Amino acid sequence: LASVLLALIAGAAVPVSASAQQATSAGYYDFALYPTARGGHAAASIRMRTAASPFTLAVTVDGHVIYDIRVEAHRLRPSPQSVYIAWAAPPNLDTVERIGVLDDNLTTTGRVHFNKFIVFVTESPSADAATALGDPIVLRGTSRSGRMRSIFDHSDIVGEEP
Amino acid sequence: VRVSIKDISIVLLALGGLFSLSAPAAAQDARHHGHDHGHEATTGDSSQWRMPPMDMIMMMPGIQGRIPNVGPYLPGQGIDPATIPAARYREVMELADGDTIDLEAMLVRRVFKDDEFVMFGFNGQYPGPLIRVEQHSTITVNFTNSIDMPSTIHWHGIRLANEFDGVPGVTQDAVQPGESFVYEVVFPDAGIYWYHPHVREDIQQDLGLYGNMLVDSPDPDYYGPANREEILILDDLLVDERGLFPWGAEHTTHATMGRFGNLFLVNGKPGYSLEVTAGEVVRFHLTNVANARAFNVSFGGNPIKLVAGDLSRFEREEWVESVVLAPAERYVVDVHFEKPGDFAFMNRAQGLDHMMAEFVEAYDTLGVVTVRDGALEHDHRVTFAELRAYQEVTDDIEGYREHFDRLPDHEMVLTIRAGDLPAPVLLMMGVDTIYSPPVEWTDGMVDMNWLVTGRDITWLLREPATGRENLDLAWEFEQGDVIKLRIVNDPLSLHPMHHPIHIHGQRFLVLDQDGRRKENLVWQDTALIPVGTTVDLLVEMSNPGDWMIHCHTAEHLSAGMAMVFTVHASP
Repeated sequence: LASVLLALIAGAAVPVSASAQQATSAGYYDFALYPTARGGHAAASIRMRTAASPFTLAVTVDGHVIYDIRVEAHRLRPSPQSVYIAWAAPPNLDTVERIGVLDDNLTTTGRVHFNKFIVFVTESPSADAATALGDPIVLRGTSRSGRMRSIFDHSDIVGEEP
Repeated sequence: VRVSIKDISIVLLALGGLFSLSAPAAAQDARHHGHDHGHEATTGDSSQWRMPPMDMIMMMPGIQGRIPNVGPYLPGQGIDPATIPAARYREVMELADGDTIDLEAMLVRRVFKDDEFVMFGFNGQYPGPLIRVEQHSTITVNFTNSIDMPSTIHWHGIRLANEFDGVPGVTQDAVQPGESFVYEVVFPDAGIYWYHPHVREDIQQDLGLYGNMLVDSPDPDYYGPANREEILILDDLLVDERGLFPWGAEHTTHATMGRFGNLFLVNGKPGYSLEVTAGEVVRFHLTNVANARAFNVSFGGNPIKLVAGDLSRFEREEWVESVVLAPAERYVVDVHFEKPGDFAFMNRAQGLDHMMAEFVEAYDTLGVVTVRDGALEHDHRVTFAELRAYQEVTDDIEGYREHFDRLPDHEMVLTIRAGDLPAPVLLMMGVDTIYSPPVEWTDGMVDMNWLVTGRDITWLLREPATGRENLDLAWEFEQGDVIKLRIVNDPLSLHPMHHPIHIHGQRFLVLDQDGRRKENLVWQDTALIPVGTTVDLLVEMSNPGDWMIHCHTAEHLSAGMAMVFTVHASP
């Protein structure tokens, strides 16, 4: 608890409440990708929406929420010899799932169903690449769920996207 | 980094609160020093709080020793359990148009494993009697309240006359202990429905006051062929080594996340079992009566065909891997058990431990379906493999399509307002804002949730256009109106939670979700609104009277999350 208090006293953002009059549900689970050194000034936004379902929530049989994900990158350098591919993986990286190849507008769509996960974009020699291993990463980011910290760990609270 | 004056004031309030904690458990002991706190009472001890069972969840610092700011409630206090009738499994009441039945809410004795509990039951049964009627029939129900608190019966999903809807203070006075009320229940729609009290649902429903109504269509081909039907009520109950965990007497406890149980019940008892012959198609009518838990159920990998929802069949049957049921929702599914074996009827979810910020696999076996080799009287595998389209449903909906693209007539935001929360709780909520899952499948902050009562917080249906909330809202419609209601579940509130929103007396379509049109429509009376989701409902205001809209998480309803609207009868 002391660490919580220290974090609060130190001036970390504590958005205790939000104005419901201004409330909107759009984009709550969206997040951003940030460049590696190789990515230069590139950036990307990840749009998350729960997948279509006869229920109002799409889940797997194991209860993982299924999201339609849209990757929109910007300022990626044109690379005639390679393509950019978006991937998703849980934090331990034991499973890497391909989201898709970024098109001419640097956009792709796919599905994810991990609890916590990262999305990263590789610069790959072929659109047929079945694995992300070995190809340089140019963008990466963490899902909102992946940014959670335990009640005893607030070391990286730096702000909060509304 | 932005810190507002409001933020600072709340932090200071929280810091100050640390040094003025309310009654700790030790003080409680002093207040109740005259009571025997032994372990022998099968009815528990209503004078004494105890810590809730925590399972694997870590207790929050600063919470230890604190108790809710309400007294504990357990049923049957002061009554020798031996004098209370043992509950029996539900009976089926097959009723004809014009029949009259008696329903009595009463104390019953229940046995789970080797432990005997005092609970509630309708007519001494668990669940309440299964009422089976033909569509368009009318029955009369003489209700007698023989429990120790006021009660009513609400006929969930039934579009009946307003005066029989069972909402105290809106459609009738609460039925006091020892008193009676006569309901006239008409059944305009085929499907599976349920009845339950509308007074302190968090207690009365949880203790066993619920039952199903199965309304048969006169059309023998209403559903596809099946070898048998199973009517299953899903529930959970919170128990510990001393028995039933007490409820809040004056107000609900568990007001943030709702009261999750740790004993899973199917039709009022643990360990559901079913034996079928290989090749059978089994039709399951599923109802979730839990206070707070949403279920995600499956049948051991056997194929599931989704057929119907609350008030109608879907436009088209479709395959699903599992069935998501929020509290009060119903679904009808057909399952084909092709091969012999034991198949687990399971609830699988990804719970979230808010203390440790980790997801937890919450896999629970609700029962087992045993499939044996044998001769089938009717083999339905061919018809099961086909997905039927229900043109009658599409034709019925067709008349409403002109309203699909209109702007919303009303908008409501689902949010929360905190009062004088205990300081550690306020701190936890204030810091824990990075992520809220679309659905809280489990109680991820057990002690904190238990500690917060209906005195501490108010759950809100808020109209952004007017700023009005809950019972201050007064929407009025004319009979025959078709309105679009936009519901936004605010992900940035103090404590985002999913909410199963129930509209009394009418039917609605979930039309759009986050701007995307639903492709396979079904008439509903309850819809799960996940966190961070915007849902547009198309509501048919066909039934005159004063009706309630509320969250069907029982503790959220008890904490204020309800409004009343009026449908004026057409001349």
